[in-house]
Amino acid sequence: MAVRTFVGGIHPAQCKYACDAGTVTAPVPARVTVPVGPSWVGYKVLAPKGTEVKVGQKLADNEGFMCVPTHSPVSGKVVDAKPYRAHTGLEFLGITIESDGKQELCEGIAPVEDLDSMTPEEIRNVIREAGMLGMGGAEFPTHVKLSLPQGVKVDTVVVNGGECEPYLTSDHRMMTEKADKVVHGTYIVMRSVGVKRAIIGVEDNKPDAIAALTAAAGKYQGIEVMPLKSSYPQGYEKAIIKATLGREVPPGALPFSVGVVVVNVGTAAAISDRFTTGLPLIKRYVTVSGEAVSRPATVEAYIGTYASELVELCGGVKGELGKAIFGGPMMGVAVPSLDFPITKGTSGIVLLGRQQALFWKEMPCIRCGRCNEVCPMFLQPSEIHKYALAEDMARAEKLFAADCMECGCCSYVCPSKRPLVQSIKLAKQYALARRKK
Amino acid sequence: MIVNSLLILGGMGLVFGVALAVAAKLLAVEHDPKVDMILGVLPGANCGACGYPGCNGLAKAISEEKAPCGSCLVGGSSVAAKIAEIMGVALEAGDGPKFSRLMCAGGKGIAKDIAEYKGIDTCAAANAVSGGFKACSYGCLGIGSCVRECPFDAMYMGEDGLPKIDDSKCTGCGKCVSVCPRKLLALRSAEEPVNVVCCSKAPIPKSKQDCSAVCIGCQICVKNCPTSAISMNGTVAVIDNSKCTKCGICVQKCPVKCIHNLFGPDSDLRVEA
Repeated sequence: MAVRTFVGGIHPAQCKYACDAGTVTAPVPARVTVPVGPSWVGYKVLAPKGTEVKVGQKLADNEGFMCVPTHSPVSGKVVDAKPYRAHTGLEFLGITIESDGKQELCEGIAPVEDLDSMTPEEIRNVIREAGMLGMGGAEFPTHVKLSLPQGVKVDTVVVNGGECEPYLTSDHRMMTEKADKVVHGTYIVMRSVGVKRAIIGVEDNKPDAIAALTAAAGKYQGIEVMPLKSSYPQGYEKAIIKATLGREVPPGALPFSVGVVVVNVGTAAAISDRFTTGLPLIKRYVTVSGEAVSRPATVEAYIGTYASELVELCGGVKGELGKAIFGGPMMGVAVPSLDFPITKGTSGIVLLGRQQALFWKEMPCIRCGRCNEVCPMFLQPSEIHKYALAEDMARAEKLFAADCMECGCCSYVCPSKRPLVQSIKLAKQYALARRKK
Repeated sequence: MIVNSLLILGGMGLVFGVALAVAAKLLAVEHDPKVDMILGVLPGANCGACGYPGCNGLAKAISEEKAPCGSCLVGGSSVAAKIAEIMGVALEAGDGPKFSRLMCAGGKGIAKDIAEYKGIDTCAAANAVSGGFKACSYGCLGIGSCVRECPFDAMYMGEDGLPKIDDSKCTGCGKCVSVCPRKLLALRSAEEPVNVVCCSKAPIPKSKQDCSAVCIGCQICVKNCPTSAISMNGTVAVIDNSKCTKCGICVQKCPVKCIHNLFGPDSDLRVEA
């Protein structure tokens, strides 16, 4: 049988240098800046400047539905709590803690013993209180994903082990090393939405991960590991639903509209961690890779650690640094310096060499239509781009610019090196802002 | 033969002529003579700066009292007066002509850049990439979308990387104001020349590192203003032009030199000891 996949997409060079290097555990950082959020407006800081905090202590919380609390990854003293310009360029509230190195656990951190007798609602509440956000990069609150609107029924949980971005290996390492946790987390997610079937979709360039997960999944009923074709963006929510189940999510709709809930493997493992050890989300796997890193590796790092420390841990910068990116090279955000803390959604820090970060000269569109062929959302990037550049945002919006997920396939294949995604992003921002009004 | 054709053709001509004359009377479209009169007064440049599709559109809107008499920005007060006469209304007393002014002094060498931007050549696009390439998230990006937007060719990029305005061409149409993604351009009349040329909302210790022309919120101007025209809006001082006497004390006292006379050199202001 042919390996399953979605329609469209590209095959960029994988460059997964950190793949075989194993995982490095980062030491407890001397200083962390923990970002509060997803959007910090309305957050109440529970640990103001000067407070002594312990590992896992709640630093800030907000009662809003779309909000999750932030916890302290280290024990020590809060030295600052003020807005800072995050790696995305947006202002975030950051809580800076100086660590005392003792890593004392906060009181009340305890594993959940009676998972089987818990109601879905109780499970979701534990997940929220643990500060779970989508760890694939989108940072969407997990408990929101698992809280289905009235009357909506789902039949399958899809666990996203696509990790299609070049360079990134954090999910790969997670699936290989902590297959048991990923599967256990999957089981908890299944319980929380009350379904009997789960599919862990993994790209077939990770055979060791597939083997480890298959072995681990044998202990549970209804969890299947499915190899998928290695293709970008296989790890995109809607692409992986199409690949694993053959269902198509309508434009503008969420996965539950076709009866599916998608969670990232990292999120599943973090949920399992919360239930087995009691620790909230304070650590994650971060890939530090790229041509300008001395020893590319996957690092298990505390949230809020500065990227510069992680790069030092991997031997520092090698040669001439061309561009530093938070996230993968396709969808990540280029950063002006490494002096930014990692967030719950930072899956990698990619340092490209001068040769990899070339700027190409933009040429006129030759109407080859390749961008239209590869778009996994079946949009017409060439047309939206044209209107967006002419600042005719109303027409760009009519061509569903708001459905673009910014995967970058169109810009990647464009032989004229036109800034397709950038222009479509502008049209999307306009469309979303107009919708809000 | 000839007589027949003459009769038939002449008869047909007569019938159609009468039919057309009747139709013209019965189906006449009412036309406001004011539209033509206003159109005669308007400059006829069809620039669209008023927001209507050309002068004809504006003339129609004015005649229907949907637009004020002073809507034509190019024509200025003289045209407004003539239109008011046609419309038979008194011209509303307004300020003098307004000109576009940049409220940022963070040009090259003054405000720091943190990154190199390559991409779509508009300020809005550059601003959307990680909050812009300047260390200050509020300052002028200097790409010049405003310059390209100006319908009157009244703007150009200065050597310091900031847009400059040619007052002899600026009509105060406000197109540049609306295109600036950081809202750094404002319309000012010569009656309100003294302005704090900084829009930063960043906390002060950081903004000071990012730009040497940032308002540091020291409040020296607030304390020294003889008419209490200056107050603080967050971290930045603002001048209430209705109270400003253009004495120039604040311009002289500002330690970071971010208060300027936007109409002529600072020395033009009357400085009282």
